[in-house]
Amino acid sequence: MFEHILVPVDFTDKSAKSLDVAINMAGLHRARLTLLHVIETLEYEDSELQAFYESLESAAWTKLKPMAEQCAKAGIQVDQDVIFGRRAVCIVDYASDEKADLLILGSHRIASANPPKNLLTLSYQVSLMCQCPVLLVK
Amino acid sequence: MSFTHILVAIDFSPQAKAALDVALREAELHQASVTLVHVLQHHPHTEVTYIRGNPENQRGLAAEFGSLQPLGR
Repeated sequence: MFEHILVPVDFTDKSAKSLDVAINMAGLHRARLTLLHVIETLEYEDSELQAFYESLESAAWTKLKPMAEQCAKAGIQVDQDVIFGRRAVCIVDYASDEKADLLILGSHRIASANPPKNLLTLSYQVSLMCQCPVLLVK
Repeated sequence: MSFTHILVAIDFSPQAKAALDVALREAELHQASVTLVHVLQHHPHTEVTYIRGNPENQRGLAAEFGSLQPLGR
């Protein structure tokens, strides 16, 4: 049984879909959820950039709130977090540090007859690097 | 959303066994059916080997059996 499900979200329609699946899975497994938003950072720092990051963080917490309420309404214990860094690595490290035993994230459909040459999208990077099971919602 | 049909691709490795365990557990929770699939890789070329030496020379043949070499593809 899964006990702690990590759900990285970027507030797109894909995230909404993966949250629905996560709520369902959490209900079946009686697991707790953590909603995670990672703000991708640039290599260099300056004061203007810092203000920009702060506004992104503030917006992220605002957008996380209704998602957390959706979980709570379904009777699911939920935590939220906003962190900064390179998204794929941050998500994988967070899952490991917080001992998540399932990661659910939105992905995209690819036509098998015409696969793209570059498959290194965020969801595939995470699913390759993550140490726990990963469910990609398409 | 519940899953109704879970496809498990297996290659008989320990990892496939672990995946199957998870799939069966999820199938039970979701009351889903499970299909196991194993894909046999299609080889467009047949591997051919040859033995150097005189085939009639049984002693030479035995000596060469230990070092079969692919003829190429």
